[in-house]
Amino acid sequence: MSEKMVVDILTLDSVQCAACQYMLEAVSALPENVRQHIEFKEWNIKGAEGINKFLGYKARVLPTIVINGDIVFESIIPMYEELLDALAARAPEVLKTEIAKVRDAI
Amino acid sequence: MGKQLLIDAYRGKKTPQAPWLPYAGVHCAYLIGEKSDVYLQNPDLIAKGVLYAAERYKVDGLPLVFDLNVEAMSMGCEARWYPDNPPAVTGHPLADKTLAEANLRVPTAKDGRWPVIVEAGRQVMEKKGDWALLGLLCGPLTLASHLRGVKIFTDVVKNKPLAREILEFSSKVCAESARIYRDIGCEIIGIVDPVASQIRAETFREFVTPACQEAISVIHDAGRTSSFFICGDATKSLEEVCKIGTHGFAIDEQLNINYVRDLALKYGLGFGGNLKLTLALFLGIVDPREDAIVSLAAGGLTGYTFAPG
Repeated sequence: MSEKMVVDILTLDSVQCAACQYMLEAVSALPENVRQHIEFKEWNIKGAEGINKFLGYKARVLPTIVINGDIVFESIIPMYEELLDALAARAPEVLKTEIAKVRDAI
Repeated sequence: MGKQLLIDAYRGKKTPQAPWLPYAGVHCAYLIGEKSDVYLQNPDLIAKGVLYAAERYKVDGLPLVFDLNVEAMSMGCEARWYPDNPPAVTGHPLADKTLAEANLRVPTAKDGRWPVIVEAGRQVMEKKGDWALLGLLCGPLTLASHLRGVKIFTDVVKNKPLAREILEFSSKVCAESARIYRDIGCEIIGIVDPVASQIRAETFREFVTPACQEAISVIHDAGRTSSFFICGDATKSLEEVCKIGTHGFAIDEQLNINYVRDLALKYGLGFGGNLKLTLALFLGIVDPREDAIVSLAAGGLTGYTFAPG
């Protein structure tokens, strides 16, 4: 069974909205050894799926980063370390170790 | 249509009615049956689309273009064009290089995409009626994000000298863009910085406010009207937006219009926006007519511009 973390990025549309673009990029630009342990997806509210995801999470603003079901960053593009810490706080042990390595290398 | 009506509202004055400013952007391309990518690279089409939209929507003002990638692309940033959207920057030249190594220079009216926009502006100014043309430039933090990528959001906290260097360069670019729109003849020039809503108020004050001052001086020295456009949930930074030095500001649908109005009145500024672009005009979840009535009632007649959020 996959132990990947789920990171959802709720956006207006990362093509149309610069704020959404860089919220998405905060996650997509994570190092490969972290990224391989997460499944991330953009949900833009220009489609029914995105709207349902937004409503399902009871999200309040766009853009928002949701990690394993927790709304973590609302209209704040996180610093690299903040994002790593937020992931580590919700990560399984194997990923905690990877994140710690990345964190120590900063 | 009323150019002066819009200018008065943008400057925080009382107006007999709320002026109307649709940010038509690449919707102008749709109106004349063109794809955005073709439209934005052809000055004749831009002029045609803007003039058509002005008549169609009976505007008090309209942007020449609404595309925050012009400056970055004019410096050589990689970007992808879309048929139904403005282009999007995809490459960040300062991601792994210094400013000196990347050899970036401030684009002038003769560089990159600017000649198309300047020519379009010339045509619009020659033919437009009694409405204000807006020049919308890419704000300093959005531009810094285009140049540096997402690392800029760590730099503003952890590597301030580098962030300051990039923001100072962005400031020069913004000022030059303001000069270009000034020379086109735009009556209102807006600094559009959507990414600035995604940082904390103290970071805004430290980096965004100073990086806007040269552009604001260019606009005010020419006797033109200035505005600062922010999007997203900018509640945390809105007081800083009010102090930035522009005549007014514009916000999106995620802010509470009553809060925004009270803050604008406190500072004597113009304010506009907040029509539910996504919820009403795009998704139809909220009735657009009711939304418009509520916005007009809440906005009032002192400094308010009726506009999408």
